[in-house]
Formats: sequence, structure tokens, C-alpha cells
Amino acid sequence: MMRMAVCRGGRRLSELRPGYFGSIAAVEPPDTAGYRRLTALGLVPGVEIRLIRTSPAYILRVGRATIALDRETARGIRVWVGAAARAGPDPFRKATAGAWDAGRRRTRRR
Amino acid sequence: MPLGSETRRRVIIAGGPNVGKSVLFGHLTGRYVAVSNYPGTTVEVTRGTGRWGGSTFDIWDTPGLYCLSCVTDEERVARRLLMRENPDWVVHVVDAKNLDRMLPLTFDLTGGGFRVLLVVNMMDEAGALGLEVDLAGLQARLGIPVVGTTLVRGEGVERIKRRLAEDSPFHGPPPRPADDPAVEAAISEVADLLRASYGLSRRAMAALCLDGDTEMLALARGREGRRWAEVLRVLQVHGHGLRGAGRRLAPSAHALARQVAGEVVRPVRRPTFILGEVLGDLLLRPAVGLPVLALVSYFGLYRLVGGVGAGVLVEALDGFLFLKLINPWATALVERVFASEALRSLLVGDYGLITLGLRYATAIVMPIVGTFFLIFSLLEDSGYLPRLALMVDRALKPLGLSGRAVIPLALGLGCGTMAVLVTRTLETRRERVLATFLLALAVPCSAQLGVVIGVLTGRPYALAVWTVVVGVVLLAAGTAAAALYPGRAAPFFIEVPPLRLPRGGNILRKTAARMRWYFRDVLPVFLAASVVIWLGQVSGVFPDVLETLAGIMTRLGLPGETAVVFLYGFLRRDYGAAGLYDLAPRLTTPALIVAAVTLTLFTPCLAQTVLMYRERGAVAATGILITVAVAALAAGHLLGRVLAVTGGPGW
Repeated sequence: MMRMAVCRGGRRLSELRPGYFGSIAAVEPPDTAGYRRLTALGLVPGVEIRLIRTSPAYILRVGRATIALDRETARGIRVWVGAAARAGPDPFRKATAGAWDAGRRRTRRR
Repeated sequence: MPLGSETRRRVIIAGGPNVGKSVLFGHLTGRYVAVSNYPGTTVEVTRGTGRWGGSTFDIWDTPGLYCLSCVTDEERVARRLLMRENPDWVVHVVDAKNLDRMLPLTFDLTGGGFRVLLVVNMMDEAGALGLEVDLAGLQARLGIPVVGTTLVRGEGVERIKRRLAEDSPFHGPPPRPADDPAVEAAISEVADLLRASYGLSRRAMAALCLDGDTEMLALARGREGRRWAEVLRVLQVHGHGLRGAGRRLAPSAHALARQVAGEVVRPVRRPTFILGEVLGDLLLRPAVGLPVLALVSYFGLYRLVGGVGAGVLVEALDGFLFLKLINPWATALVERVFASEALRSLLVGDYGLITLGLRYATAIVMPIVGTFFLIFSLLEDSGYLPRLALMVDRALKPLGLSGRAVIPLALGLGCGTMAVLVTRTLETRRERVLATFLLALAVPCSAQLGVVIGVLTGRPYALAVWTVVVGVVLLAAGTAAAALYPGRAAPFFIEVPPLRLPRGGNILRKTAARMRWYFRDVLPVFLAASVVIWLGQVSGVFPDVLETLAGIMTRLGLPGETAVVFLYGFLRRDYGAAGLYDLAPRLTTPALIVAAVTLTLFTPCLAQTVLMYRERGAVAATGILITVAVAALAAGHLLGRVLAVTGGPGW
């Protein structure tokens, strides 16, 4: 099962639980219209997402935006799950702070 | 593209939903339209004029556009406008903190050959998040003028006006997403073949055709004429290998956008604590969301719409303005001017245009609907509605709908006609038809709701029975309709905006825009219905129809007088509901409940029916009307039987 997932490219978003994050491997919705809509929302391969809820709908953070999907649509998104994947509190609030530190480090190096 | 003449320039405002387009439109034209926070509430293009810097500007506001290879009807509207109007400027409004996800449209627009001014809005929110946006760097990188703004405070508007009045050339070629060489070659080949003018660059047109965009393909076929055969051949040759060139292009456009955004947007401070973010996330949980919904329904609907709207305002407008002032004055005037009895009855009779037609529409329906729109606009502006949508999505699936349908359905509680208009924002035809069906059958509009509540509150349990029966019919009929109408389940994806404090100005503007619509589109139909009633009475047709109806009513277990309620209710819901109010003292409680239920479920008012025909087409609309009529009578009959058998405590 795991092997199949790796061959296909990532796990389905609908199989993940809150707290998992990673980058989108592929977008395979049932039809072209669905593909365009997801693309327009910014859900394209390479984008980093974080799943924060699965009920009442699949809710993700993409960049600084929040997007909600239903289960069927979530099935069509394949995700390379991040190395440190775990269920836990949403570090979104701290993400910008972390980046602030990184930003500071960058300027210091200069 | 050369700039328009000195005196008149065309400007189209484009961008995703919820970025501030309509606010900008308001600032530039001094004219305010329905500014919405929820995608899909602006369904039409709005046009206005502004004057500054010695020039006149024709300005268009468009529905939300995510990208040029678009999907929904509203995006197509925006795209068609861009291609048709040959604008001097396209002002692309984006959200500063989501630059990475919004720049792809900028690339689409510059690639399409338009002269673009990028407005990076919501700089205040970016600042609160601790972000700094290097606007000069962005301008250099993109090769187009860039202005940073906080439109809700009016900051940046003057700079935008200056730029629009200038003849600023491109600073340099805008960056183009790096394409897969195969895709690039295909686009070039097709672009070389296209000769007609489309209002869009040939390259962009070629990309859309290769992507399989049906509307663009049809357009090209029409315009290329004899050349089309060759174009089609090339498209087919490449089409196979590039099923949807968009699939290849989109990731590279997004990658480039992320790269550019990463260069110009940097976190420099710790973000300040934003209550809205915490609350906004809390509302994502049903444990919080559902009680909030109950509170909103109680205070918003029951107390404000019911109490203030239906109570205080109606009392002032109807009780005082019409009954004490306008009606007597008008009656006296008409009786002096016209001798004809027929004309007198048309204008000031029992169902007179002025004494009843205009009076009901402006003194009773308008304040109730107006208060409802106010509350709705408040919820809309705060960002609550998308959260509601995601909460109810699963519950709406058996009805063949997605969470997005909660918007038209909720609006239907205010005014069913406006709700049918808003069903345009649902993506599939199946969703639109099913939502329209539910709106016609079981969603009572506020005018109706107010009167039914007024009529039934006196009697214990009556209101509860009514609510339960209507609810059950809604679910049962909705599920049955979804089962009978084959099609895919409605997909649900929505961007959830941050929770914001609703702004008074916005709310008033939105409400005013909706009220303007009501006066322009609904009131005339109401008045026309009054004329029809008058004609029916004068010609003698109505009494005959009433007799037949009375027969049906008795079959339902109701007194013959309720026939009047239904006949008038078909033409105007408020008449029907008011007729019920008059009849109430004479009916037994079970009979009253049956009458109320049947009236609620029965066909919608003339205004809504007319719009239904226009929006869904004759076939679907007629089907809905017949089903609704039959279902209403059947439900009423069944309910009558059940109540007769069970009796009930303390009727």
C-alpha cells in the first residue's frame, strides 16, 4: 500500500489527518473544470500545504491563506508528506515568527 | 497597445474575489455597488465614470477572476469584458499577503497584451502580520507600475489616479513563466496561424485554445473563417500530447509567482496579535460555529428582522405613512379626478394599485426585506458566510448541493427573487436547478415568514408543527430531486477569508445596492401583479376561478374562503400571507396550520417565477412550478388527514 503510494507520488490528502503537512505532488480531480479551479486557488504541484482540520470539511493552509475542500476534492490531491509529519498544534501562527528569525539570520549574514 | 485619447480612457478593474476591487471602484467613481466579501455575490459587471487629471475615465468593476483560463460563469463575464472593451488600463488588485498566489493572474494579463497597473492592497494587514513589501523591487521585476494601498482607508487612491492619467510606458518586458519547450513550440505554432483580432494577444489566445477552452475555441472558429481548418489540425496534432496545455503552464506560472513574491515580501517584525485570526479559526469548528449560527438566527432573524423590521418599521410606514396619510389623500384625489368606477377601483379600491399594491410593496415587504439585507450584508462583510458554507457542506450533499448553496438558500429567507439571481454563482447546472427548486418549494421569503409567524404564534404548538413540516418537506423533496436528477455530486472548494470587523460603510453600501435592485426589478412586477388582479376582478374571470379553487380547498379540508388566499398568493406572496392573516380568526388551528403550510410550499411569487424562467429556462422552470404546486397540495392534504386523526393537545 505504501509502495503504491510512493510510486504514484505521495499520499492522498483525504487520507491524511490534521497536523500533516507537505508539498503537493499532483492534482488529479475528476474533471478539467475541477483542475482549473484548484489551480486558480493556488493548489499546484510544489506548493506547501498544511492540513489543519478534516471535519466538517478538509481545511488547509496554503501560504497565508486558508482553503476548505470536501472529501471528494481532497481525494484528488496527492501530497508528499513532510519529513517531520506529525499531529500537533498548528504552527501557522508561529510560522511568520520562524520566518522572522530566518529573515534576521539572513540579514546578519550579509 | 496605444493609449486612448487624452479625454477619455477605459479602465477595467480585475482580480480575485475579496481583494478590494469594488472598494477601489467606489473610490474612483464615487459610485458604490455591492461590495462583497464572499465570492459570487457580485454577479454582474458594473460600470461608472470618474474624472480627474483633465481626463474622463470609463471604469468597469468585474466579478472575481482567478485566471484567464477560467471556469465559472462570473469569471467568463470578466474575461469577455476584458476582450471586448479594449481597455487602456487593466487595474489588477491583489492582496499583499497572498502575492504568491495572485501574481499568476498578473502574468496572464500582461501575457494577454494588456497594459496592467498592479495595486497591492491590504498593506495594513500585511503590516500587522509583520511583513514588508518591496514595492519598488516588485515594479522593477514585473516591468509594470505598482501601487501599494490600503483601500478601506482610502490610502493610495490618489497615486492610482495619477498613474492612470499618465502615459507611462512599460518599463521593460514583463517576466514570462518558463514554459516546457514542447508547450512553447505548440503555442507559437498556433499563434502564428491566428489572424483575427480577439482583444487578447495571439499567444494568450493560442494557449487557451490548446487548453481546450470551449468558449475560446468557438470564438476562434467563428473569427478565423477559412483558416480554421488549418488551426484545428494543428490543435489536434498537439492536443493529444498536451491534453490541457494549462496543466503544464500553471505550475510554472505559480513557481515564478512564488519566486517573485519571495523576493519582494519579507517578514521583518513579529506579527501583532490579531483577534480576528483566532476567532476566525475558532469558527471553523462546528462546536463553536453551530451555536454562533443559532445566536445569529435568533438575534438577526427573529429579533432584528422580525422585531424591528416587521414590527417598528412596518408600523411606521404602513400604520402611519400609508394608512393615515397616503391612502386617504390618494383616495380623495382619485375620486375627484376620475369618474369611472373601474379606474377608481384600479387605483384606490380594495386591491388598488396605490392603496394596496404600492402600500404592501413599500410599507410591508420593503422594510422587512431591507432589514434582512442589512443583517445579511453584515454577515457577508465579516467573512462569516464562507465558514458557514464549509460547516453545512456535508449536510447539503444529499440534496445534491454543496456548501456554497447556503448563500442563495439563506438569501431566500429574505427575498426569493434575489436568491434565484444569486444561484448563478453555483458551478454546475444541476446545483443551480436543485437550489432553485428548493427556493421555490420550501424556503419562505421574509414577507411570508413574518406573517406566518404572526398568525401562528397565538396558538400553542402551531408554529412548531409548521416548522417541522416545512423542514421535513425540504429535506425529503430535496433528496428526492437530487436522486431523480442524475449528475455528479457538487464539488466544494472555497477560500476562507480572514474574519474582519464589518465596516459600516460597506454594509450600508451593499444594502443600498440590494434595495436599489429591489425597487428596479421587483417592485414593477408587484405592481403588474396588482393590475392583473384588477383585470381579473373587473372581467369576472376571478370569481369563476375562485369557485373552482374553493372546491379544491374543501378537498384539502379547508374552508372555501382560503381559495382567495391562494389565488392572490400566486400573484403576490404578501397578498396571500396577508389574506391568511385576515382569515385566521375564523379558522380552527389545524385548518390554519394546513393553510399556512400549503401557502408556504406553494409556488413562489410572480417576480421570482419570472426570474426563474429567465435564469433556468422554460423547461426547468415549468417543471419546477408543476412539481411545487403538486407537492404543496399533496403535503397540505396529507397534513390535514394527519391532524384530523391525531387531534393534538390544547388546539
